[in-house]
Amino acid sequence: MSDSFIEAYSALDARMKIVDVITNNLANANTIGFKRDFAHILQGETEFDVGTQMDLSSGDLIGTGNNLDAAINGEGFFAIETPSGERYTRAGSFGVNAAGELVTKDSLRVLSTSNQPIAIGDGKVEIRDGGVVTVDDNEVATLKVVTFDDPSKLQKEGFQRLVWNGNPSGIKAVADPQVQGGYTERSNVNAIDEMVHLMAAYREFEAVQRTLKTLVTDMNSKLIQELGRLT
Amino acid sequence: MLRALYTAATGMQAQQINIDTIANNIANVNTTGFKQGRAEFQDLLYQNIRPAGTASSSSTQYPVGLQLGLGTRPVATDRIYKQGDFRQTENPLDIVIEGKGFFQVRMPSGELAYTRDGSFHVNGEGAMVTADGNPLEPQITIPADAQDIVIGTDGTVSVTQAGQSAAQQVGTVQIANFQNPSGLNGIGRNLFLPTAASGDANAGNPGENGLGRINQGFLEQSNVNVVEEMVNMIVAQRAYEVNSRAVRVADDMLSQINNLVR
Repeated sequence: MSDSFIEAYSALDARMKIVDVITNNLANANTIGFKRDFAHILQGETEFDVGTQMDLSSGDLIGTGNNLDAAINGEGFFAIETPSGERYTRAGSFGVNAAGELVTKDSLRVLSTSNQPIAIGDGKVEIRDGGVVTVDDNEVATLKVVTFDDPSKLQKEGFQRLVWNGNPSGIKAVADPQVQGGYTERSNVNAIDEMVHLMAAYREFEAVQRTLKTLVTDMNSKLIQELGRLT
Repeated sequence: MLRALYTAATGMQAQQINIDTIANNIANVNTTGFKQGRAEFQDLLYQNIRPAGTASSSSTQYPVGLQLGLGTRPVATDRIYKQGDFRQTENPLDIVIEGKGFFQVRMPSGELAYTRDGSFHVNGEGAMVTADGNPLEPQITIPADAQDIVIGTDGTVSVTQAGQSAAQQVGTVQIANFQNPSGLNGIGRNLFLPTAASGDANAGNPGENGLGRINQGFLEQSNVNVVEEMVNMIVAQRAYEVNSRAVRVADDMLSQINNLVR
């Protein structure tokens, strides 16, 4: 097959991947703490490829009045404990498990600055500035909030969790985290932007499809001509 | 390409559940002791097509990876136990819990259920019962000739009987709290049942051990805020629309591929 074929095919495939990424963003327009992915085309010598990058900009904070909700206003991620190691999230809509510990909605324990689960029991819980957790006005723990030296090494694991693929030394505690209790961070997906990207990818797809169609038709007629000459 | 179709479908399903939750909140805007529900979502697994740092040639690496997400899923319908407004009724058997806790009622099956709805009545035998007729636990019997019923902030119920000047104590309204009230199983009729996630009920007298206090002559209104629900509904509807648009785009792209070869 000719290079132009491969090029057109890979251009088409790239647009499909971009649509996949945009669709996932749209599906998560209401996921707390979700960070949109940004897809861009990488051009090789003959082929097109797609890369995705997380857009770590903040989502809007919305007041919920729920004292187990917390949002980070600015940089940082909450640290949570999972069976496969520490994970990070911006989704601060927490709950309490039957043992009285602060957990995510997947019942994964939230970690304190001393890397311990946070026991809150059934008292009046508040999450205050700096991530200080109080129960009946007594400080019990501070939420662990960390940042990373190279955010491109953060990978999405799904279920609002991020995994750090860099060196453990790349994880740094945020000195004075701007944690706000009673708020959650909305998804940073902007439906208008995504629709514009979607339409752009779609039109590009259409254009490439036309090119490919021309190539196919040309080739077919050429083939018929050549065959005709042979016989 | 089919990936985008399914991903958008998960988004549409999620928004349907969101609308269902909002509709239930709005329907219960006048339900005594109702607590607002909130649907929460999570992103699904990611397909790691090419991790960042993969070699693009013998000496270069791709600076960014390629991760394709597969959509969203509902993770929880949380209940927000924010205190509802108090409405004065002057009815001596209307009581509210100011703070944490639930009234305990005995269901016909013998099981204990929990409720924030404090509009009680007296049945034929003089027992304090909910509007459904489930008696309060521990049972409190109001004498038929009671003139005046007073329920104190600590839950003590005292009545003044005809021909007597001194009030007489007939029982105490006990309330119960849970480690994790969001883990309670709502069974409708304003009732909740404990689950493994909620933990066991810790019953006690109102005002003690972090339990709320009782106020007589008031009802706790639904804590649903209609304005907030309307805004949430608009957001959910628009999110549904953009997801359905994505389905259409994916479908169009598929049909164009089909048209490549005639």
